[in-house]
Amino acid sequence: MSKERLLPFISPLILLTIWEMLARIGVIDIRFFPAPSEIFGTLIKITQDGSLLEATLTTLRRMSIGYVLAAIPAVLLGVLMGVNRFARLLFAPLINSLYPIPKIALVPMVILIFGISENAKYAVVIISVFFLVVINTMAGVLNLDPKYFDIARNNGARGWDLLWTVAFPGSLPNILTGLNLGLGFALTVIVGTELLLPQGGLGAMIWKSYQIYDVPTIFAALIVVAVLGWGINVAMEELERQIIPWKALPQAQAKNLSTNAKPVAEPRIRRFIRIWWMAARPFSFTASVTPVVLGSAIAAYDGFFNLGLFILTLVGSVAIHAGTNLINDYYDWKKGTDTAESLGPNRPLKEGLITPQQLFVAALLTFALGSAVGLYLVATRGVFILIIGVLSVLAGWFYTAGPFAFAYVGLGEVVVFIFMGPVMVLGSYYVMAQQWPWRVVWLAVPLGLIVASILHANNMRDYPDDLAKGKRTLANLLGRRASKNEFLLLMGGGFVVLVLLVLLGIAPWLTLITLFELPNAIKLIRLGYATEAPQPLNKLVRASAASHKRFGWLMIAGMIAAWVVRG
Amino acid sequence: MIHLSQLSKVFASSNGGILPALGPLNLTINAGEFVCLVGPSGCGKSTLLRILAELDSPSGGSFQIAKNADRNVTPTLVFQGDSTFPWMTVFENVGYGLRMQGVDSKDSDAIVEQMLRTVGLSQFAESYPYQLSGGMKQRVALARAWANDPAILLMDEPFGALDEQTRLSLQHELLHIWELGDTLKKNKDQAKKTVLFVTHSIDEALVLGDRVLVMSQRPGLIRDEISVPFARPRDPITLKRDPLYGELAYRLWQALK
Ligand SMILES: Nc1ncnc2c1ncn2[C@@H]1O[C@H](COP(=O)(O)OP(=O)(O)O)[C@@H](O)[C@H]1O
Ligand SMILES: [Mg+2]
Repeated sequence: MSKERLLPFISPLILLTIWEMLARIGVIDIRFFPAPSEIFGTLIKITQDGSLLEATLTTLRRMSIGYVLAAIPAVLLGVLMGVNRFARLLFAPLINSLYPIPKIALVPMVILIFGISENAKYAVVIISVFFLVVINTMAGVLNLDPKYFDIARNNGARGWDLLWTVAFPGSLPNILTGLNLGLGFALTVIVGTELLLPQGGLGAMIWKSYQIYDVPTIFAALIVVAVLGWGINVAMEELERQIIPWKALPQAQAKNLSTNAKPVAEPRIRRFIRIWWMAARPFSFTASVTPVVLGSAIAAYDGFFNLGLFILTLVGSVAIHAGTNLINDYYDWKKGTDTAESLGPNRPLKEGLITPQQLFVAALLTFALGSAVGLYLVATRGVFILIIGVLSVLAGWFYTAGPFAFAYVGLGEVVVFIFMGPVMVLGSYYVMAQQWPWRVVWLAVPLGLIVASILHANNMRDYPDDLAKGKRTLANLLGRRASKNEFLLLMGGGFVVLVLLVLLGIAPWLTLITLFELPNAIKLIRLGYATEAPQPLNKLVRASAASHKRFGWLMIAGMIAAWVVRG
Repeated sequence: MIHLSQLSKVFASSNGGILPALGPLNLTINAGEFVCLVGPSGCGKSTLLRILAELDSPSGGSFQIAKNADRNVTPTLVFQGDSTFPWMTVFENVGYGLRMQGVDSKDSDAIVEQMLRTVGLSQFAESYPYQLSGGMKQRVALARAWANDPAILLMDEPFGALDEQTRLSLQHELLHIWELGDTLKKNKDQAKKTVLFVTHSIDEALVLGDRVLVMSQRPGLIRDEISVPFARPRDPITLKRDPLYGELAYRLWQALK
């Protein structure tokens, strides 16, 4: 350890030594200032009998639950108030006038409302943190140079894009400052509240020790509070360093005044996450996340929701798909080395951020994770899941491989319809509900039709190429004209089937919110009829995928709303 | 084609009065034309570009931009000064417009890579703007605008902050891209881009433009207009030996006086 790092420890050590000496020779009154050695002894004692740990955990639990409940809505409201004048004018007076009230002074009011309960403690923390975070977040957005919004607009960003790509990331440094202050404040306030309402926690420990003149315990508890406060600060600073890599460190800026200076190293954890996120492209698989979530939402509607199983199903399927992405990229790379031309689509690999070996190992690990989750589900939730899994893997395999590859004999749409629709939805439904009613299959049909329309749009675009290659798709088997009708059948059919299901009482009426997507779908169908040129058809492929995504999430939202309404 | 009629802009001035910043302007820029705009600072050049990019609205008069069926018709503006997003890597900055327009990430990655090569920043794909010099950031902004492949390109002193060598190579690249019409050099029969290029350098205006517009002091009016008849493709260096070059430069200086 270098001299400079030792320096900060010297003054506290000297203080403690003097204190200990004065206490021992009796210069200071040890009833009020017990010797450090005695405090230390007490600290060990109450650690061993578990009381300190229990008090600390209680305080931490109250602090973090209240904090999370306050911080999330506070950030959202703060960003909203930053970008939207109307919201600002509406809420700012309220927030500005409530913010300066010393929050601990609200404890009596809170007790009147909530009684002497755990909720009262959460409420005090929530009130304290909320205003602080709202104000910092809003200031962060307002302080952003308006030119960034102009640049974004000029590049085609609208509405939510502006929020997600400019307002939020741009104000993140300020948001984090607010969150950091808020967490420190939450600790202060909860300990203070525990002094006033001594029912467990470090504050109560201090108060009760005071009542029996157990001064060493007071000091021990104070030490723990101080360490917690310090730990919170360090943790938040590290978090900030990890998630705001674009903030220049002072020494980094100085170094980079010359033109071709080497970039400063990015924090390690952040770099790791970013690179592997980029490599696995998990977002490319919303098409298969949607059926899983839909299946779970239907199960929830039927009263079978289980958060743990939901998370497991989601993690399992995302892992399998990320693994598929990674392994495909790896084999693309292997083929690419033969031709020395293309390096495949994997950016981190191309840019030398990861090695092919790392890519391969990562693919295996992700598959292992996915399989482990899958096997666990099979073991606990039944063989039906194994059957679905095996069928899906086979379908995936024979999709492009073998003498009877589905994609090459005009069966692509059918296979995609079956597997990305009913099969996946039913599978994730079964995980929770342990049964497979036909109703669920019907409910999955609209989503399946629309997912098939993406592939069909793709085949419409590749019509001439596929003909030349001898790849037979439904599009070129049917001919141009009929393939347009088929697009109408798939895309429009999704909506028609859904309406029918609602009329038949199979789908809850709230799922009709998917009709918001209908105007868009009609536009796409028109586009499909209007053009045969590859460029607009390319747009059709992308727009169909986006449409599928929106349709899926609207349907899910409808199911969840129906579940909530039903109660 | 861009057509302005009686276009003007007034701002509220700080002492409560009004500040006429621009116009009224009457002007037609033909499709595929490369027009340079020079004028004293504060005469409303940036304001004009912002209006054309629909980031600001005119106080009087109007403008029309002819529609083109399958190209990106909102003009892309290369902003004056640094216009990179500090929170995005170079790669994300360059791909931003493509992402907002919903281009498939596979396609857009390929375009971004090509643009980074064009501006010589391939090794810096994963860097953040704070790690770059001013000139490098400017190249990021250029790459982003070019990646959008717009039919109309508005450029606000884009090479102002660059060293002479980089400027020369980027001028060359800009001319190349403009002559090809298509940033990506894929579509051979693509129509040329329309470029409106603000600069404070008379040399730059003569090297690049088909036509140079000279603006007056605020409120900016078109005071003079010089067409630049040099053959294309042009070579920015040999051009300067042409006797006509000196003649035109002299006329521009006169007009700016
Ligand atoms: N948002 C604004 N509010 C008030 N005045 C402005 C604003 N934007 C520009 N101006 C004024 O308008 C005039 C023209 O500005 P600008 O178009 O930036 O000039 P140029 O780009 O030619 O240097 C300047 O006097 C400037 O101070
Ligand atoms: Mg300007």
